[in-house]
Amino acid sequence: MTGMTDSGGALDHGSATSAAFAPTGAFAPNGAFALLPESASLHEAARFQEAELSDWFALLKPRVMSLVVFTGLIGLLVAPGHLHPVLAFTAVLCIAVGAGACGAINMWYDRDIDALMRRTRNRPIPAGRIAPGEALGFGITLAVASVLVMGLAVNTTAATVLALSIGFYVFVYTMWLKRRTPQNIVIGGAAGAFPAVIGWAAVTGSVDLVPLIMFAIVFFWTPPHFWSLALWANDDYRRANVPMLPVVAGAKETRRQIVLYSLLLVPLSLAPWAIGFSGTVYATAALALGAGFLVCIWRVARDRQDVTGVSLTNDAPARAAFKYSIIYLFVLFAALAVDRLAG
Amino acid sequence: MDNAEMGSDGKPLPPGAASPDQGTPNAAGPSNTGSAKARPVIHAADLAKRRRARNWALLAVLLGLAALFYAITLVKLTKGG
Repeated sequence: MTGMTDSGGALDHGSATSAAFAPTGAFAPNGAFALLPESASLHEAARFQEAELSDWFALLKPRVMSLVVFTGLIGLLVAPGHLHPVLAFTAVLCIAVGAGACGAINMWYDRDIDALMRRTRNRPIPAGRIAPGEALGFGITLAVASVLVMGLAVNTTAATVLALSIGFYVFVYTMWLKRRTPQNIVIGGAAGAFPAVIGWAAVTGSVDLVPLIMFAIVFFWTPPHFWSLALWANDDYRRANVPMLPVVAGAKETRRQIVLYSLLLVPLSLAPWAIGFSGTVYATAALALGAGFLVCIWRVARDRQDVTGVSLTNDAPARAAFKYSIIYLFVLFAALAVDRLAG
Repeated sequence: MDNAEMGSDGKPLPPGAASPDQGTPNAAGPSNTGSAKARPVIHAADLAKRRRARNWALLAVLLGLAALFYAITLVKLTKGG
């Protein structure tokens, strides 16, 4: 962040720094500042100046963060006991910042393949608006800060699980599995399943059976969710040489695995009710949502396809399943919280 | 912005960035190519505006953190008492 402000003065008309840099660039009559090719260092500084606040925010992967914050909040709400609202807010903030740190470090590491995929090539690093080193520094700072604050303000168990989840996402998923195995998102999905455990640990200071069930629900939800996306974003992953299941094993096998994980997910979602942790409100919601999920997955499996398994409907059922899977998890966990708070 | 290569979002694409028709980043960069196409053109007023926005955001974050740490300290002291 220092370089961002240090380099800024270079382009201010009339300032001392502007005079110092004047020989390496030129102002056009319309007020634009054009860099000369030989001014490589100034060019780097100016390139960094392209970054807007929204670019730094985009590094945090806000859409992923919203789901992570939500599951963390539910873990916190359903846990037995009481946490002061200020500390609860701090815990959720640390979960959000930790997730954002993972996003920034992931974008730093994946900047080469992000530049190749249509979906990701306008991200701040491949688009050249943020320097890779700055993104890495940003991510590491946020990761360390989130774990420290969680440990100091909330408790060490929550901080330990948060540190574990960040380490798992960065080292196990991003750096190790993502480019090596088609099972990348199965094991990597564990990283996304941690927040509910962290939320629970923030209140109780321990890890119990219920947060582990919530962990398992997110864990088994992740493959159908991501593989539904991968079915229609297949070309992007192939271009970037990322071994997603549809690229490596084909669409047919992917659909089969989506069905298998979904068949495991739906009964598992009833586990909180089966162990007596939640009541009929949750059980009813889980059954209804699960039925809807299975219908979506059935449509994915029965999608019109050619002999190689490639969809003839532009993967419309997979797109629908992807959207439904997001609603499914949000409503399922919301029902768990409502059931606990009402009961 | 006259000479800048434009990205899909209307922003000038800096050298090294993947333009929509390239697919891959241009590793050569401006100092190697020296082409006018690769040079960014930046409006000083626009940069000052962006820098100001970032500084205000940083101030807000710092003030927010100070308030949060103050509140945490109060809660901890109350609990401790």
